Amino acid sequence: MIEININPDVLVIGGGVAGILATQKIRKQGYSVSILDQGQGFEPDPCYKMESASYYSNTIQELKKDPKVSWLEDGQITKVDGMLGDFKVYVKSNGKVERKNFGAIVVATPFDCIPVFEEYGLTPGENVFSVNHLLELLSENKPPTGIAVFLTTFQEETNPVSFKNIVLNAIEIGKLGSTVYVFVRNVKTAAPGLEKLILHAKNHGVMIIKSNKAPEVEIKDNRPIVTTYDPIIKKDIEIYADYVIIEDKIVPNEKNNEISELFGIHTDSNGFLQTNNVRRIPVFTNRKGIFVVGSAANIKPFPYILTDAIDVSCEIQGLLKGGGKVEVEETISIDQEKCVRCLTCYRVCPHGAIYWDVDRVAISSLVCEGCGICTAECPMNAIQINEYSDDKIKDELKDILKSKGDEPLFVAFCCKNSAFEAAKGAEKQGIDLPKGFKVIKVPCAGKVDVDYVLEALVKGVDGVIIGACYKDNCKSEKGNIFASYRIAHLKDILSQIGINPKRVELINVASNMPKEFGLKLQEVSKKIVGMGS
Amino acid sequence: MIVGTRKPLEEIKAMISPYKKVLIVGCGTCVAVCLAGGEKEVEVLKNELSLAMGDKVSFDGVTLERQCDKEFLEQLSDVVDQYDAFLSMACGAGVQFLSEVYPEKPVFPAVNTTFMGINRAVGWYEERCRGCGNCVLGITGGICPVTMCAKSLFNGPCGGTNKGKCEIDEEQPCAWYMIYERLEKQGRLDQIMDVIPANNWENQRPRTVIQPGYENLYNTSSK
Repeated sequence: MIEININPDVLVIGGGVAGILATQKIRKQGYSVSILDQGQGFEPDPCYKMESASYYSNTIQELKKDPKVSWLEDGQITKVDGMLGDFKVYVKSNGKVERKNFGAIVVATPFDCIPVFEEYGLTPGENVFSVNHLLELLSENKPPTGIAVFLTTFQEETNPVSFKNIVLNAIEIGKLGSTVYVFVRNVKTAAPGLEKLILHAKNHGVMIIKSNKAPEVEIKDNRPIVTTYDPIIKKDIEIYADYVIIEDKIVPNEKNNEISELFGIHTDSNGFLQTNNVRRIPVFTNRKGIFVVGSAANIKPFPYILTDAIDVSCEIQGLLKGGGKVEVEETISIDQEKCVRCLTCYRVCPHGAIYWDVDRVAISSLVCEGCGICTAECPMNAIQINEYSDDKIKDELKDILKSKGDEPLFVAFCCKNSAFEAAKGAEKQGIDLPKGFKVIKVPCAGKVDVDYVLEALVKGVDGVIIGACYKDNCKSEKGNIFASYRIAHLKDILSQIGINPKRVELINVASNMPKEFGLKLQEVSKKIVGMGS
Repeated sequence: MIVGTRKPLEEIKAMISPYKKVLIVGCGTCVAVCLAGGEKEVEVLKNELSLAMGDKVSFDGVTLERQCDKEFLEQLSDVVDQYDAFLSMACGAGVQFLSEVYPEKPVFPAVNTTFMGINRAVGWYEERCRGCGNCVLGITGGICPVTMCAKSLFNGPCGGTNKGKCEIDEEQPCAWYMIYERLEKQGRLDQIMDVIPANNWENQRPRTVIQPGYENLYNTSSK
């Protein structure tokens, strides 16, 4: 057992709706919170303003009275060290850099908005403006009146958050006397209460026109004329508008890339701070103790931000447990005699569990998820996971070889999160598996060393299968990717040796796919049987 | 660090095929760090060769701390008689020293020593030094013209510089262009006018270094 000291303070990054709600819920669990705004101010994100303004201002008032909430206004993070229980965050504010220590971090960066003026060849002006500008006019009690046309983006799909905001604004200015049209490519309904709201809007005279063709806008005599094809009446229509209001496209915060780099957390293809990995839902990142909520993770409707905030507060309680000293079992170790400090492990660890302790490379058993990618990449075999050490796996292989009969012997290294469960299921369900098929359980396909496979082949195994999770479904994010690189490399090696590379195959399955697992195995094994021993 | 790459299996097979019992010797320093010749690579090569050569040759593996130090090489003295040949996964220096310490044993290289370089990211290495023996980095803004310039010019650029690129390849930056930019950024562009005298290209013959402080010990002066 190792004793580790856990700092009970939490950092929340972002002063928008997600940041404030997360702060409130984490405070309710009793943790002190520092809330950092990166220069965008403590304001609700414009796209949630209509539905959350009063909630937001009440919450912020409540938090302002709370002495255990610190407000870090207009701060920039310059460096991040440490890990769960002991993060060291360097914040630059008023030209001064200060180090602050936290046990856990919640990233809640608000959305950025880009009004899609360019898509319509428009420039903002008195009668052409964005939804955000409309919000400002409404808050200044200067609502525009006349014929209003809302134009959403047609170049891509809009989203329920942005669309709900438009519908709420449309209802509002309708109430204040405008005639309102909303043009949209596809009506979005996937948010709580949104379908009902759309119906309500229609009942109150908001005309929502869905078309495949983007409307065109021409400014004539200072008046915008919107033309489009109406697929219901099957006619081109022309609206002489008094003003057009342009959708603010929701994009990830411009600081997200910087945060991703500083904190070592992965982004999705859009630049949100959570990968499209089912194992990260709802608030997890690839690093233990660093969470993402709401607008930092994805485009989420307002009610889901509230559930994210509650989720994150529970997860923090689960990890920090009030702070103080905790005992952690050593699950992984580095042989310092063997280690050559090449930093390969540090660079490949998807969980940020590896660090330097003076000039020694060390792994935190608290943070390590036990995927074993580092153990398979280490050039000196210096890292061992106690439960899945090289010796244990090679012993298992030896036992399997003892049972070799006349039929071909197949060994499948199966990820415990997917293929291993699928194999167990297949056995229980009596699914036909190749004769002479044996399973070795591994914590992740990324644990499977090139050397395990070669050794198996040397010792007389006829075929080796690596059972990995599907793309974007790997608990270690990159374990299945590393496995695929290694299999490609192995196939090269086998070809050079003159052994059919099809003796080694990687198959992707999920834990609930025993039947498919059986079929894929049969397919691989048939080819290998054909090759002979 | 010294960066190496594993030789193709065919080439290694051809070298060791006349022998019955071969010891694969890894090196736990530079080539381990660059993932070419550490303990893992020894195991992999051992298994590759076993698969490729069957019972004709038998292999064992061992990884030493360094093959460029006699003390570590001498750790093999007890087992040397058990083998017909050594297959060294060290750099060229290690291979030669192993051969020198055990002159009666054939030693074969399993790694091509490629260059002295840096580790850009995991598994990615770039050349930075040719060991010319006359370091000019102080006046070239920390960019080595011997390594980075296709002509290894001490005074450049040549007429082949083209919008920041080298005439040999559009992808290849011109070293002297980079030097110019770096010096300008650091406000010491005047140094580009310093003429660096031609190197005496000592590396045409084997060199010896004796660090200051050890000169008396060996009763010599560094050459």
